[in-house]
Amino acid sequence: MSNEMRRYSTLDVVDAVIVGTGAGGAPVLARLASAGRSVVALEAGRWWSPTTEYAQDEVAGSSLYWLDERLSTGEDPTAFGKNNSGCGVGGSTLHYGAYAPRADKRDFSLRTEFSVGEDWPIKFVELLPYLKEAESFLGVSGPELYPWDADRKYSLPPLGLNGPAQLMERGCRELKIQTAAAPVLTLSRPYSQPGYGERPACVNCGFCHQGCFNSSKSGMDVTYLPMAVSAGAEIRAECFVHNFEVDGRGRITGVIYRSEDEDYRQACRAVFLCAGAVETPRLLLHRGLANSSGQVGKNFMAHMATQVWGTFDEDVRPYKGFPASLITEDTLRPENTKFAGGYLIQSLGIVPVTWASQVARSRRLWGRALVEYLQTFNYAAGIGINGECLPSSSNYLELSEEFDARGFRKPIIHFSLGENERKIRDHSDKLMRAIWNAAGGRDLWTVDRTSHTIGTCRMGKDADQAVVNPQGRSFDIPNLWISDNSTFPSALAANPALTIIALALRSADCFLRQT
Amino acid sequence: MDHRNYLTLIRSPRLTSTTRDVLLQRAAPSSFEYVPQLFSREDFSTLGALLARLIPQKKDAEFVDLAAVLDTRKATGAGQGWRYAWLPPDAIAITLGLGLLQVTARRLHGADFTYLDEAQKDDLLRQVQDGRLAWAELDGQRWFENLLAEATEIYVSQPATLAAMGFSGIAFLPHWPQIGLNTAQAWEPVAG
Repeated sequence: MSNEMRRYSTLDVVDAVIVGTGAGGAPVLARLASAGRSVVALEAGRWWSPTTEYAQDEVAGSSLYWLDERLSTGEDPTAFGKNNSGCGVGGSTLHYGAYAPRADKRDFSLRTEFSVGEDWPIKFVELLPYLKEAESFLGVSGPELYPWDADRKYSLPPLGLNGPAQLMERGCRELKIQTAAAPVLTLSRPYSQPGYGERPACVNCGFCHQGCFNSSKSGMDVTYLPMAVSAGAEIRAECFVHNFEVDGRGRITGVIYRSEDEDYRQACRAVFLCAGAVETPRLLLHRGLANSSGQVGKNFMAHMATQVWGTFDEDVRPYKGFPASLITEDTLRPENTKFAGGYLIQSLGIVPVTWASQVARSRRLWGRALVEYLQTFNYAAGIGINGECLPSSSNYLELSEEFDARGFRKPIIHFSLGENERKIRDHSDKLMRAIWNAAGGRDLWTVDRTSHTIGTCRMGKDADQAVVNPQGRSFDIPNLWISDNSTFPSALAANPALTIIALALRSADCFLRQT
Repeated sequence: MDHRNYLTLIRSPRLTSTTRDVLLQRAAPSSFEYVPQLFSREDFSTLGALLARLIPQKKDAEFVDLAAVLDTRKATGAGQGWRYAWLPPDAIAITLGLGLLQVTARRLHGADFTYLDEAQKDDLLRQVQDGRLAWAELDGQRWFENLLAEATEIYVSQPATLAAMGFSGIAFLPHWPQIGLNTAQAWEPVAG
C-alpha cells in the first residue's frame, strides 16, 4: 500500500492533517480523500506486514501496543499497554478484539433515564446511518436474527462457536438468558474490500490480539486506510506529532511532528486529532490548546470488564476460534437492580500467556500451585462483560512531572470505580458465576479489570462544558476537529470501535459540508 | 507433550514460518553462563532464589532462566506501556524490592534470602504478597504481583512450558476445521 501512495510536500498546504490512523482517524482520512480533499495522516507507529511479521506469539505481538509509559493511579488504576492503545498504521485496531455490537439507543440518554451520567448531544438516529454504512463497508459477521434488534441485518454469516461460546450458550440456556453469535469485525467468508481487494475468511487461529496474519480481521489497515490511499491520501508513518502552529486568528496553520529525531512542519488548513483518549488530551494539554472549558483530560472513563474463569470437564482448548464468539444483551437493563445503565456479556477465549498472567495476578497463585494449575489450561474457559462507566470528576488525565524519552511529560491517569461501577461489577460477577456453574464450571475465579480509554475531550452543546461541539469541532479552534473515543460524553455499554468509526464518518461529512 | 516432540511439532508446516522462527529462537539453549547486565551479583542471586520459589522448575535441559530474561528485558528499558504511578520505574522498583527482601530476611532470620530454607522463603514471600510486611520505601504487594506476573509470562512463553500445558494453538495451519468442545485431533498435544 505504501509504494504506490501519493506524496505531499510539507510545504503543500493540505486540506487536512489527520493525527492517528486508528478507528477515529482512518474513516476520516478515507472520507476526505474520497471527496477529493488533499489529506495527510501522521501516525506515530510504523507500517506492519501481517503475513511476514505477525507471529502467533504473545511476546512478539507486544510490539503492536502503545508502549510509551503512562502512569496509572487512583483506587482502581486501569491498565494500558496491551489493554488498549496500539502503535502502527491502523492504531489499536491492529490488536483489538473486533467485537462489534452496536451501542444501545438507551445508553445515549442515560441522564434522562437515570438522572446520572450524561446524555449525548446527538441522537442515536443521527448515528444509525453511519453505523449501517460502517457495518456494510467493513463486512460484519453476525447472526441472521439479532434477538435484541429485529431490524438488524449482517452481511456475513456468523463465525463458528468455540468451546467457551458453547459453554456460555449452555449456561445461559439453563438460566433462560438469550444469546446469539456475536457481531464481529472479522470475516466468516472471503470478502471483496473496496480499495483493497480480496480478503480471506478467518482461519480460527485465535490470535486476534497479536495482529491478524491473514487480514480477515477488519482492522483499519485493510479497510479504510487502503481505501484512503487509493483515493489519494498520504499516510506518513513513524511521525510523532507534538505541536501545532497557531496563527494570530487562533487557527492551526501547521502540524509539527518528529521523525527520526528531526522536527518537521506540515502546512494545513485543518486538523483532525484522532490519537485516542490518552494521547489526544495529552497533546492538547502539552500545547495548552482548545481548553477554555477546562474539560481537556476530564472525565476519563474505562469500561467495566469483569471476567469469570473456570475449569470444565470438556477439552475446551480456549485458544481456538474467534475468542469472543457469543453475546448476550439481556443484561443491558437488568431487572431489580439499583444501577444506571448495564452491560453485555461475551464468551472469552484466550491465549496462554495472557491467561497465565491473569492467573498470577488475580488468583494470586505461585509455586507448585501455579505450575500445576497452568497445566489445566486446555480445560479453561472464560466469560466477561463490557459495561457502563459513568463520567466522574475524580477520574481524569493530567501531565505528570516525569518526562519520556522524547522529552515530553508522561500522562498520569487517575481512575477509581464509583458506586455505580461497583454495583455493575458485583451484579455481573454473581450472574457470570451462576452461568458458569450452570454450564458445569468449577473452581471459578474473578478478574477485576477495566478496559478501553474513553472521555477526556467530551463533546457537548455548551462551550463552557465541552471541548468539541456535537459535530466534533473544537469550540476554541475553528479548524481543529477531534475524532476518537475522547469525545464520548459517556461510555456506552458496547465495545467502542464501531461507535468511533460512525462518529468519525459523521464528523468528516460535517467537515465536508462546512469547508 | 514431551519437549522434543513439541519441537518437532514447531518445525512442522502447521505453523507459520514467522511463528516457527520466533519459537525456535526462544527455545534455543544458551551455552554460556548468563552475566547480569542490570542487577548486581547479589540482587541477581536473590532474584534467582525468589523466582525459584514463584515458579519451581527442574534444573534440566528445559530449565528457563527467568532471572536472566528479566535482567535482559529490564536492562534494555523495555516496559509494558504503563506502571502504577506510586511505584518507581520497573528496573528501579525490582532492584529496590530485592534489596528490601534481603534486609527483611537478615532481620527476621539473620541470613541472606538465598540461604533461607524453602518454608522460610515461602513464609516471607507470602507476607509480602499479603501486605503483612510494611515496607516504607515500596508497595511490596504491587511489587510482588508485577514480578510474579512478568515471571509467569516469560515462563509460559517458552516452548517447553507450552508443551507441558498441551498447547496446540500455534499449529493451526491451514485452519482449525473444528473449534468446539472435545474436538481436538489425535495429534494435538495434551498436558503433562
